Amino acid sequence: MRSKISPSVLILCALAVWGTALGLVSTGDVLAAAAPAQPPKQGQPPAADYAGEATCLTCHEDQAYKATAHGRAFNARTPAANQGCESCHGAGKAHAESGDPALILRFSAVPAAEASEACTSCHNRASHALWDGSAHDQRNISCVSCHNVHTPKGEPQLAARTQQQLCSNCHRNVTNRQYRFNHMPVREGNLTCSSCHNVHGSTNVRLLRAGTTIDESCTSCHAEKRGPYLWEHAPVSESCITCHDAHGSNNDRMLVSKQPFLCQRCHVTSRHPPTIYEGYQLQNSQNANKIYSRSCTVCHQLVHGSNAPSGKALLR
Amino acid sequence: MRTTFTALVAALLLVPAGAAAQSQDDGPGTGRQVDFGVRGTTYGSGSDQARYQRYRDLRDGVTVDFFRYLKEGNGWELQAQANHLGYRDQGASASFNRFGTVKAVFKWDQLPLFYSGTTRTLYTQVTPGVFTMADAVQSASALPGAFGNAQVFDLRQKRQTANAAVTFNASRHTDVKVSVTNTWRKGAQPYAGTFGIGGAIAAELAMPLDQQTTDVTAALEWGNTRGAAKIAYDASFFRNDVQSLTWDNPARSTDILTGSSRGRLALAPDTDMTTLSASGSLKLPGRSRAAAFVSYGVMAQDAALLPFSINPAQPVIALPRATAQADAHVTAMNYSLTSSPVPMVWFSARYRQYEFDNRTPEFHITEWVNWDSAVATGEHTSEPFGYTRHSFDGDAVFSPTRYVGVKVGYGREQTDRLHRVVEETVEDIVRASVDSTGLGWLSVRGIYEHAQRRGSPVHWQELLAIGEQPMLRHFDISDRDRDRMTGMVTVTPVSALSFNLSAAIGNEEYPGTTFGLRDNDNMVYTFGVDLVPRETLSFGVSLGYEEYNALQASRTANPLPARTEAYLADPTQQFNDPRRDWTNDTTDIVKTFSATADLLKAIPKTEIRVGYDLSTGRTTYVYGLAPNTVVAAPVQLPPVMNELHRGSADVKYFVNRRFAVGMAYIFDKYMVEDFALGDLGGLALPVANPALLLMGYTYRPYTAHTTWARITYYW
Repeated sequence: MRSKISPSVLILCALAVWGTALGLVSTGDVLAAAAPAQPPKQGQPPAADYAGEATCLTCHEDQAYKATAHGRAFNARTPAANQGCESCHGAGKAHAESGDPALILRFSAVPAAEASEACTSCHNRASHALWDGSAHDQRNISCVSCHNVHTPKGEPQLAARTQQQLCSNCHRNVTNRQYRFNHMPVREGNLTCSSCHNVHGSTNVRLLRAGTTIDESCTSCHAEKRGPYLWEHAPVSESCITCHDAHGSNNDRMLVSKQPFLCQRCHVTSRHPPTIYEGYQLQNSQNANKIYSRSCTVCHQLVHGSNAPSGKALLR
Repeated sequence: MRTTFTALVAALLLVPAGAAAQSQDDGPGTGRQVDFGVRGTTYGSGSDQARYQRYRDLRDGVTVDFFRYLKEGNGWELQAQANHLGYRDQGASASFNRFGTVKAVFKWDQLPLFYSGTTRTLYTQVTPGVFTMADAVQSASALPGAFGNAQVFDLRQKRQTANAAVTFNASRHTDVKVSVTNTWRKGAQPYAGTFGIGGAIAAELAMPLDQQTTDVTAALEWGNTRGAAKIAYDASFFRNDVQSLTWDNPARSTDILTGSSRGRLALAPDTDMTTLSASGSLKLPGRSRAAAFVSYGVMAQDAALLPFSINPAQPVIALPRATAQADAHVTAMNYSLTSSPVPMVWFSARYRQYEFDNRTPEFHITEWVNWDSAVATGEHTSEPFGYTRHSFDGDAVFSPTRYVGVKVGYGREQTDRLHRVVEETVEDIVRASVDSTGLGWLSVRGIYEHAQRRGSPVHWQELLAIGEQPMLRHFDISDRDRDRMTGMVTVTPVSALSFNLSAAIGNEEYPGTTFGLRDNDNMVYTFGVDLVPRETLSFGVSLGYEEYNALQASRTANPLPARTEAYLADPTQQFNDPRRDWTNDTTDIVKTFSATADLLKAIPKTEIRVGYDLSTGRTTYVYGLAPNTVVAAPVQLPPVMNELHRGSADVKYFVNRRFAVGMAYIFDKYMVEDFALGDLGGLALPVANPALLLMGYTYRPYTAHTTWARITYYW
């Protein structure tokens, strides 16, 4: 079961490839890109192809962005500190002179990848570093599908007032689950979709923000469950979502099914699990403690793992 | 309190009348704002107030619900903000950014979790994690008589998080980041403990929480339009100040060889996790980008082991080792290449490897103690689960026009596992999608995916050895055929009006077995209408229907003698009798409805937001028996019903450019019928012959009305 190639060898190989690639390009034009031709600053005469922001605003005054993060001219990284509107829309002198809309970059009129490329020319680090080829990029979604840099309705420059509203445009079946009886504190405003997901791309599956597996993402908050433990429970090591629905459930503890039925999906014959825990027992039998309240976990509390020497059945 | 509240509301409502002549109809947009207010909540009779406030604190009183401060200078910015100040769900943050040099952020956040305000217990916690009960009560016959003396307590916990992060801009394209996060988790959560099966009494307990996690991250990151690189160190240290739970046996107060007056179980131990990672991406010719991520981490836990039992009447069994010595090494790698050599074609290939190398030495026992009440002998060895997962995904997108993208893809996931019944699984996935998004009036998205998972070799003898049916396959690793289809259409006939319709259908089947989860299906449909007649007005309505079906199969029977293959063909064994088979068919139907209306300055100087959400759920669990069954017909369990109504209204009137006054109202109504978690009224089940001592943490309905009156000041 162990990989046939040592992880350390693979790591070294990967690092060597990566380092070589970086080394090669660092002597070439990659680092050159680190110092792009400095565009003229605001207030300076525009370069030959640039019309200047004042010219843009004569026709597009409703598209001002000064009140947004992009408008902070004192931050050298913002459009306002560089070419203003033309930082993102490209040099617009020809467009300004002819009025031809084809001569300016209109984000709503170009393919999604092209629109995103303009944004990622600046937003290329931290949480945006893995946008290219990410799940949303693959589905023809661009930055402007979700963000509105001119008239944002919510932070950060979102096209909707809240993340839940925005994400529900496509993921309504997921966002609806916040109204289930057991849910993450999203509808209360304590968490948002991006608390767990990085919609711009991630090294984890399902665009999860933390770690490299679902388990690592969950245990980044629920650290008490990460182990390793002396006695372990197989599905826990496989994936938290084998048993839990992280987006909400009407079952206790956001389980994908009610206990004991969830447990009986695997424990079908051994000892007491194959018992039909039915309505009569619920009212009249000592077996009621296997149906009522915490059900199986009344006794098997340590389903995430036990550190007790007598904990082989996750009872201690 | 109620009088004060009413007076304050009235006073606040009078303010607009006198100030209506002011001309400015909005805040000054300086980013400086504070909301002062007063809040009150009324509940319907018998309402579960804790459930209403499960993740929030809506107590009556004066509020500072929203504070924002922004100050900008030449090249720098200072921000501060706070929410719900003074309440259990308060949060605050501050950041200073000297652009191009340094950014420092501090955050404080509190997240409450209020389980119940009506829980009751016969236990007293004498020290953290040690629960005692009066000796005279510790018997099945005396217990019911003591319920009147049960102490009522709040069952709640709180998570507090402090984060400090500094980012140094070493150069225009290079950042150094350091972040430290400390999370405290204090309070209690529902738990339970038991002393056996027949005749023992399990007890619900409020497990104390006193945990702390410290996460440290340090990273060096470089990036520009051509490439990016990052190296990072992440460490997480979990510390638990209550690592065992001890509680008195409700059924006996003396220790004998076959019975204990106390039970003890192990809680979460201290753990460390440290990870080093490196990642980079590089833009290549032909609109291509290659990216790589490699990480290596160690998870370690070496807590001292408890004795086999707390029962002094039992012989002391020597521990195989004194500490857990649990240790796992994690290696993760991702490599991806995306390329669009010509505008209409786009390729993507991605490979992931994840190895969880669990190096915890096996823990072999020949003698142990069940429930602190029975010494047992045999051979048991722990199973430190480990696995290596290789995943490949390749996709090609063809976009003949900017309006349409057609994608086909293939994925393969191979997982090798240690200590599982199925040693290796391979899942092949094919998928196709169509996205039409460029047209202004029509957006269509559809994706279909078919996946087939097969596993081998299967160590079915291992199942037999633990008394399970050899044909059982655990559904997380069993053979599986899965089909999923999702479609979404948005039609916008005019810019002010749009309709959206979505459908998601999924089907999972588990071939090659007659036990366990047999199939798992889902259907989700949503329909919505959005109307935005002008920028200041927007309305939305959404309807949803979800149905989830799961069928599972079992056989009620005793294990084979000695759990050996020799008896597999013996028709006299219950284990081999298909007439003892039964199924449980679960159907979960959830319907949702949402409506919103935003009137932002549609009425001069006034913002109005109104919303309503409804979610109803009905779940049935229906038992089925084999046609020629020898099993007694079960009494079917009643359906589980959940219904949540939530309405809200928020009105803000801008008196002038500095002041706004407002009212907010939330209405929540929750109804529930749950055979397993509904309120029994008592503290024992069954009442006559208790097998479970309860503490009354149940699902109860509530109706709540919360009203705020607020003044917003901008400066």
